[in-house]
Amino acid sequence: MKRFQFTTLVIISIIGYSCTKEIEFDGKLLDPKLVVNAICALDSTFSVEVSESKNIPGFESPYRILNDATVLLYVDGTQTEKLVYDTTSQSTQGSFYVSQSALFNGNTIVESGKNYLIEVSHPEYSTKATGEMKIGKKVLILDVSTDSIPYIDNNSQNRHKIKVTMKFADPADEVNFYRLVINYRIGKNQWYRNTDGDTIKLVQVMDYIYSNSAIASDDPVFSTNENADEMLLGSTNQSGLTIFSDALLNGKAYNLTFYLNENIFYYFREKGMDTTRGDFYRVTIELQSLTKDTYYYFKSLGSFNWISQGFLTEPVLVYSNINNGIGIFGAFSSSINTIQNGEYPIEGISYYYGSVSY
Amino acid sequence: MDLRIILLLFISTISIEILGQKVTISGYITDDETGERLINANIYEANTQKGTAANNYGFYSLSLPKGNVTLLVSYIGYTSQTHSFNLKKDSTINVKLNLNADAIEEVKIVGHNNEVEETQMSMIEVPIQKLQNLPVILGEADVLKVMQLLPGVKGGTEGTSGIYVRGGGSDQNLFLLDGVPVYNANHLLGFFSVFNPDAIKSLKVYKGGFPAHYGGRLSSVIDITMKDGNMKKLEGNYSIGLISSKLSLEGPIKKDNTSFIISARRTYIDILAQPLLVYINSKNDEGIKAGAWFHDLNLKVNHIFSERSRLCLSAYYGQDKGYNGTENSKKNVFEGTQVNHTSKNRFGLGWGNAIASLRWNYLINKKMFSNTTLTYSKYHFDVSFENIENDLITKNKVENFFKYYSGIKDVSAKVDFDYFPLAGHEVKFGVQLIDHLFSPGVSQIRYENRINDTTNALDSVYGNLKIIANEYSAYLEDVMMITADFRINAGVHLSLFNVQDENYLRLQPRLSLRYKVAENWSLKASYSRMVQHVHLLTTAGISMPTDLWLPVTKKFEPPFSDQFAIGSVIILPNHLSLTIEGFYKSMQNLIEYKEGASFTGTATDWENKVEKGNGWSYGAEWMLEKNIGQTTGWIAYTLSWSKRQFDLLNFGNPFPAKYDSRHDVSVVLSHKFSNKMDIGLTWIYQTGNAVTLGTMKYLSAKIPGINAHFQTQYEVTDYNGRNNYRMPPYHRMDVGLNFHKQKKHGLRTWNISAYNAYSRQNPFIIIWDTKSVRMNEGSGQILKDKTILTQYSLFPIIPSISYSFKF
Repeated sequence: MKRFQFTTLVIISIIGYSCTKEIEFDGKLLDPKLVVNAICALDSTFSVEVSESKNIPGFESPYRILNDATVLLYVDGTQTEKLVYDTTSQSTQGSFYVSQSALFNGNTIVESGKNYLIEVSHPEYSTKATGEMKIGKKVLILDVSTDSIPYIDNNSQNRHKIKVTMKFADPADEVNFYRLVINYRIGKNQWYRNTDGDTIKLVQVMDYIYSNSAIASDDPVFSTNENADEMLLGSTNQSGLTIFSDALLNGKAYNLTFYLNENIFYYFREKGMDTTRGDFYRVTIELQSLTKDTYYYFKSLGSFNWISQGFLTEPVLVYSNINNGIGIFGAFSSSINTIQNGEYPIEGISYYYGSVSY
Repeated sequence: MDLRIILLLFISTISIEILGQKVTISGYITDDETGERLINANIYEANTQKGTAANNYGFYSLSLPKGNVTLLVSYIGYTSQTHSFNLKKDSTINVKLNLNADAIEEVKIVGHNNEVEETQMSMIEVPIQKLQNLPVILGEADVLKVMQLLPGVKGGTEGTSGIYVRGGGSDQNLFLLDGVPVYNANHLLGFFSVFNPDAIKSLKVYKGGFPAHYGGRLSSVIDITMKDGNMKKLEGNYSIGLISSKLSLEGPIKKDNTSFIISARRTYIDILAQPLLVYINSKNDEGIKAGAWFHDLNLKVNHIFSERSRLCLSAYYGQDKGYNGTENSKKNVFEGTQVNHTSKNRFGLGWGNAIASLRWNYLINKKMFSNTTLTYSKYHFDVSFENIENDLITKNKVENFFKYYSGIKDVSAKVDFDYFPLAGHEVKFGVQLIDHLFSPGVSQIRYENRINDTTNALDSVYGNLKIIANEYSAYLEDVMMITADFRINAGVHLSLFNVQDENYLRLQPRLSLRYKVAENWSLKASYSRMVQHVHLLTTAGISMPTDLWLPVTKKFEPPFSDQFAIGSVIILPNHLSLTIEGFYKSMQNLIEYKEGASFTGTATDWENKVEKGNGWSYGAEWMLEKNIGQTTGWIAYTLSWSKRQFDLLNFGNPFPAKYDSRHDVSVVLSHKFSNKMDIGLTWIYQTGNAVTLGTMKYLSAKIPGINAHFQTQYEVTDYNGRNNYRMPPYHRMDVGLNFHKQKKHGLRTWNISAYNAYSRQNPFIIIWDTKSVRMNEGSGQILKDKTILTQYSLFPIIPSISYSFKF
């Protein structure tokens, strides 16, 4: 770290004494590209987002929404469907952002073992952007078990942490890629009495956005250099994209272990958990099986977001499998298992929902 | 080449010698005035048209038939000599050549022109005496800056160290000073090199066609030989520049028997800055202290025991230091409480090389020359931070100290033999053992907190354990004249590297061919395999003193290169020579930082920060050179490509190396108007470095999750590939004027130079930046942010003046 500080200091000092000037950007690289993004779920219909890249130099401008694009879907070499522009796609999507892409939906269901080709054209583009993908069979979570592991924390307090063992069987004779997704929903009793003296049975429910420390794991699948490099991802989970390949477990049934984030249970640890009064937690464990392209896309995108893009840092190139354009045409299947303590929802209790970015 | 073929050729030539009726003349070729041995001086017998060149120690051996011989001895810059006599038996003939001071007459070389005659290709010997006439930088002529003007050799980013030869990396160059590796060849972050021109006798840059006696780096060997010291008389020179001064003395300790040379340099930016700091500190009470300096010392003692035996001790020590901080004491009353407080903050850094060699030349017989060498080389770097707060009233004290240091230390022993069985036939062989001690990074923390007579303290050292590695090598090299026009240099270099219980045995064949088409024209070809056993971990491709030397490991095997080159040397009228070469070099087991990597820690996890891959480079080089006359210099042009391919970088697609340069042009001119005045001019043009620069932005796919609310979408930068963008080209002109005057006790010279004479703003880095632009909107004006590409440059025109006196 100190070497880094020194190097940075020296270079910043040099720059401090240097002269600057604005220089022309080589215009040859400024032609916009069609951006095609679709990460489709197995057994769901196709949804493709189409947008356009924009230049970095110049004045800031919004992304063009290419709702007049034509999106065709080919299944095993045969055109099966023209996807339809979703006129509602520019309204608020979810809670946090307004999409700046045009969304095209289809009716075809994503099935394993079929070859899919997406072809996107636009009147202003002379070439069509295409992408191909094929997804394998779903890999199921066979079992999930938990253990309470005692430990002593930094303040010499006796604690327990929850160790989760998730069993799944990696298919043999093929290369598989996975992503582990953990979702926490915690309900905390907030009962109170109103002015009439009645008890208002209210439970505050929090969904945790795991941008940091969602999972702690020393499982070897995360420790391979390729997947979970400490430098690239900080730890296996800090990018929120906990991905791994079957390089270490090809064709075997495997027990993957990880620990639930203790901080999320802080309230229960300090105040105790009373399931009879509506307290609960529900941990949803999702094992996603990714296409290879999706895996590389997540891997590079996670690194891109995690790494600060300074000039002393080698930039991260985000993967693309779109010809004559940029983006990703991928798919995933998902297997979900749940750990739950306490009943939810309970009739007669009001729930107040919120979310925590953690 | 198959090892068996080499051995067969070797044995066959020995047999020829046994059957022949020849006698041997041998001896040393030296400078008559100083006794300096002349490396690569030519000796040629006109009747048989056989010749050879003196080795690195000025020794030659030539086997000839008995009878009348006419020997022509020549060396560039010296007046050639002719000796005719009847050769009856083995003879020792030592030749003393006189310097041709004006160097305007052509050296009469009959039938043995060095460049045409030599098998060696892709090697340039930089004439040191010409170096003195070239523009200097802040009063210092610089060897590395001149090297960057050679075809196939490229400098790195301005303001940093590092050279890049034929598309190789900055760690692929072996700097040898009197045969000892120098791990960091730079002072002041690359502004000066560690090689003091006053102490240097010869500088050879090998870019390919490596003779088998060299090994250890993939792309180049820079072999620098220090002067031996004047055997005849005491002489010296001193120089005073704007930021540095130097002194060089050489002479006999015992005439014609023992000589010495000592050269020392010291910069004084730190001293010159003192008045400014005093002024600044008078305006406030911060007590600012800052400075930077380097000094170095070259020393060599040379002793002749006899015609057969010489001993030579050479040493170099250099040190760079930089520091800044504050040191003050404050006395005041704060809220009724008297404060008497001292404070000290200091940041410091330093790096340096220490090398030494003890060499024993022994002439076993007239055909066998031996050279036994013990060497020591040490490079270290350290950076420290210190903070002390001391309350003189309460006696409370807080002290923090951190120091990080790294380095490498080599001890080696080697024995080399030169065997001259026949005229035009030379065999070299030898063995070497090197003990490497790597110290990749050690940290020291000292902490003391004394409050109210209670003290908490810590003094700890932690970091990487030292790594010991042993390197063994042996070589066999045979230079043979197959016919009068066809010569061959075949050899093999064998290396064994032992580190962390891992052994790497590598065979490195070498082959060079020369075919003389005409008296002044030869064609050459070569093949070299080179292996290196060390990596240099650099920061984002910018060479800095903080760069770490690390050994190869189990995970990262030794890199190796295979280089093929073809070329032609033509001697043209008017003392011109034209060299044209083409090359193709492949490089395996290279390392590069991963995408997203930056130097954020010590070397403990360096293997996790880099990827392994391959590279290749190819190109053509032209060099038109004139070494004789009032106007000398060269014009060089290089057209080249350098690519890399790493499975886990750039999605496996090939990408240009950071210092891939399509066009390199350099012009070096030196003109002597008279004995009182000469001018030097250099101009360089290089295609801009390749950088990875975002060109566009776009939206990512939504990341699917269990909860649709949490599906996120990012704005992504599109780089269009690693090293996708070219910085603006680099070009620069340096000009220097020398005014000489012969004084009673020596030659006085004033030098006026300008570095970057037309003040070109060359790119150091380019980054995206934003600026606010006033725009008309509606009836008023608004400020809008505009993203622009901004170039940072370092050095504008830097004029300098220096005074030197040679006595």
